[in-house]
Amino acid sequence: MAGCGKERFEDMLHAYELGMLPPNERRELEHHLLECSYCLESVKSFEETASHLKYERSIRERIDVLAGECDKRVVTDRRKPVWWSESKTWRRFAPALVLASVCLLLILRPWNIGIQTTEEVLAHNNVLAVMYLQNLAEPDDPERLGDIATNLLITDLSESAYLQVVSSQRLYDILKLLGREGDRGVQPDVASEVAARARAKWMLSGSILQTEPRLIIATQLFDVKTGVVVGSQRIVGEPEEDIFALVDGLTIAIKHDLPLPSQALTEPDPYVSNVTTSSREAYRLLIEGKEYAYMHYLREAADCFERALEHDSTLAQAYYGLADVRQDTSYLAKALQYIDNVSQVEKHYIWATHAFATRDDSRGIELLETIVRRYPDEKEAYLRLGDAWSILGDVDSAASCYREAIRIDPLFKNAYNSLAYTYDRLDQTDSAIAALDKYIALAPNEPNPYDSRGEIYARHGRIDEAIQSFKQALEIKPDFYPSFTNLGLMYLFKGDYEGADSYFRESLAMDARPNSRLRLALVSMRSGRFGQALQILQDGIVADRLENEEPEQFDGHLMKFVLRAAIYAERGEFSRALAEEELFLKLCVKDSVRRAACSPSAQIWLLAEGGKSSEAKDELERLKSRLEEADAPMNEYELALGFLARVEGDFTLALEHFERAASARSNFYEYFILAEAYLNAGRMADAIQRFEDLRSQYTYDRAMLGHWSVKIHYYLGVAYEETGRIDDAVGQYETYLDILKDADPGLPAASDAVHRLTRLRNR
Amino acid sequence: MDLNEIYTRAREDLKCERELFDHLTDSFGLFVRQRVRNREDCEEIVQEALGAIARSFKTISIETSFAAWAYRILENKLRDYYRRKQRRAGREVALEEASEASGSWVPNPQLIHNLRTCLDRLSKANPKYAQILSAHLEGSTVEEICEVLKMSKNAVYLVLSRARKALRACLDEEENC
Repeated sequence: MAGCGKERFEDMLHAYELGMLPPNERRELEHHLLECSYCLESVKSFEETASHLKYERSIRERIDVLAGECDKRVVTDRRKPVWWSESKTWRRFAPALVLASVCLLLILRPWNIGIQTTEEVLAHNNVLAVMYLQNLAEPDDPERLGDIATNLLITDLSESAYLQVVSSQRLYDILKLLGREGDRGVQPDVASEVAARARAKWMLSGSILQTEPRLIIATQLFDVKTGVVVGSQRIVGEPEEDIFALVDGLTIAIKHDLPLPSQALTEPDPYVSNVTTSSREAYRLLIEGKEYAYMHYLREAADCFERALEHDSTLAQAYYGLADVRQDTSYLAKALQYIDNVSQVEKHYIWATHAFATRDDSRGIELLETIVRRYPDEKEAYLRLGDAWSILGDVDSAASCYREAIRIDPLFKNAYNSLAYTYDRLDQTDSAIAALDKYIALAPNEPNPYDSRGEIYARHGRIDEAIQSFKQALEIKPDFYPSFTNLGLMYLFKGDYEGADSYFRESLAMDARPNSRLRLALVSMRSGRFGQALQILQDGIVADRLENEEPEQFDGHLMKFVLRAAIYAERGEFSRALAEEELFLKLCVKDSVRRAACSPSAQIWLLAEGGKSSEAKDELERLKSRLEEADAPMNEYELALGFLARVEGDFTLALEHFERAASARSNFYEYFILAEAYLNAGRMADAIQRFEDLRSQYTYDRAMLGHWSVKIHYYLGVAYEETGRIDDAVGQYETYLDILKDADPGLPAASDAVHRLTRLRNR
Repeated sequence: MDLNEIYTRAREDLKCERELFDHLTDSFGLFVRQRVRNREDCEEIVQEALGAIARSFKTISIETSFAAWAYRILENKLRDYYRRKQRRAGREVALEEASEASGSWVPNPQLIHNLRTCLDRLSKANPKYAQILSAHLEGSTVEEICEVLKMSKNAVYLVLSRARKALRACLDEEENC
């Protein structure tokens, strides 16, 4: 066999063997290996050698010595290369540096997994930076016409397959790096530095000269390298002609000015209003919503998106924005309905989000990687890739993606936020706090960094520090909703139920939605006042229905049924629990976006507990078939098998299944089930370790488990008692019973705790 | 190798089916060993993936490429494995840590000796190789290595590729001595 014929892949083989390739390149190469016998055989034959290079200690030591002999600088010198010298005007570029940057534009793509089409090759060569169009007619620009025109122009030009347009976000980031955050009217030398940093070949600048009685926009197109004006345009709109039509005309004119292939002038060119909106007001609100979302002002962002929809009910980006800021996938269905009216890159984002929501994770990742292939500086895509890998449990890949996002924009505060949570998952709490400190340094006047820090503290039992952080967030923004609810949770865990309740009621007043109503039941659930909790949840269900035609769109509504089921189960009323669970499932599957994520393992458990084992087994088989057909992970099936084994009293088998089912989604519920299983199987040390871990987590997930999260103390008491740690056992029983001092009578675990405590005290 | 064509024939022909699954066993095994050091775990993951493919490859309609579809199944099985591994360890651990903790790689003394000789020889002709390797083994990312060595990523891969060729030639020579 002559060879692979694809040099690029052959060059990557050794990096692959050493484990150096980033996940997307590794994936691409492995796809190639599946189809190229030559490369596959080559890797197989070198596998043993590569293993020795990676793992054999004496070889690694030898490599270090050899590297040291070669003036090793790698691990000590971490300065970034300086791209540009300080003083330049747009006419005095150092051609070599510009040329180098253009060459590096072609070669140095840390996450570029290959340019697959001729058009993409051309697009990557043809990079245009569109600077902010100043509104000279109205310098204050109350209608934000400058932002609107700039964003529309970027969107419209980006639809070309032969052009890559630097996003407004990217330009904003570069201005921030230059210490010119928020600058609108930049001087030519600054503008060209920005364009050069963005690795643009051309730069477009311009202004709005007149708004009434007709719109007039003037632009100039420069070659970044030479500073030569490539084209000028002056577009005069007809009276009443809107900005969208003007941008359409301007796009065509600019494309004519640019030295693009002739196909660029005949490619499909949708009207910009067809990939955005035809309502100026809706678009302005969309821009504002995105700005708020970026600062984590989620309520304000949601408000803008909702107001945008009042002007244009088909605005897919607004639905998508709502799905994001409300963490509510019900809006995705609407976004998908109108997806034909968005730009290519936004389509990919929406499809990717839908893929993740329906648990088609591979597809979601593919779509995001398509974005970064086409737009290598799209830091948001890297951020979302990191989030996807994080949810899937591949923390290593997640960290890589966040680092890449930070490499693109060293001031990308959201990436530091996500990196912090990643470090936290790696149990590197100090690194997590350090990343958050960086986030705070970048955004000292924003509440979210303090809120995030509070959450990290809370996850590690540092509840007082968590409270302090949440309060700092609220000092900055007194109505910062996440910190409001987080503070309520902290007071809940501290036993200050009045304090907790007041925060939950206040948050309901701030945002009267199903999730807020759900929290009203947390105090009752935790303190064992189940009758009261059931009533609050029922009232919430009714209120949700009155407020929304389709309340099942909201997770907060569905969770009320789940919690009612859990309460009935705790009381031993399995028929009622089953009824609630079945209502939950019925509502769940009505939603096409959520349907794939609905899972009946709890229903199967309740059927078995209620003596309906044959029906339980039927549901089990249906679940298995469904998961196999979709080739979905089987952990939900394992969970169901575990429940059945537990009901039958086979705790060893139950534990095996629960261990297989355990999820990497930081799932408190499944972790609790597993800990319980260790206890039932007599593996006290494992049970203690997990319950102690659960006990130190002051999180929303734990609060949502209501009485179960309190039962941790009871279970710990039992485990301590079994292992002879009597004082510890007494302490846990006392804590448990103290929390339940006002509980409804007759709770089995509480009665047992009383008996055990009495027995231990009488010893 | 046209995997789509083999797949199409394998749906009807037993011999092609065996050829297809032999190939998948080979390649999947290699991919999984890159990520998971424990041999038993590797085999289990590969078998699970092949089982899933075997159950549906004749009935499902694959619109894009068989390789892409099959690879996605393997990825899903790997993710299942990572989840189980992390929970069994009782806390969230980095994937590489989780897999290295239970490695089952066996050193080959003769290869070690030959490798040392060849690395010494190679470092004279290709000094950057040792630098890149050392940095990588100490935990630097490719991006970090590129920045400090002032090389593009493709240039780094090229250095590695050339070193690999030279290393292979040298090791063959040492073996024949």
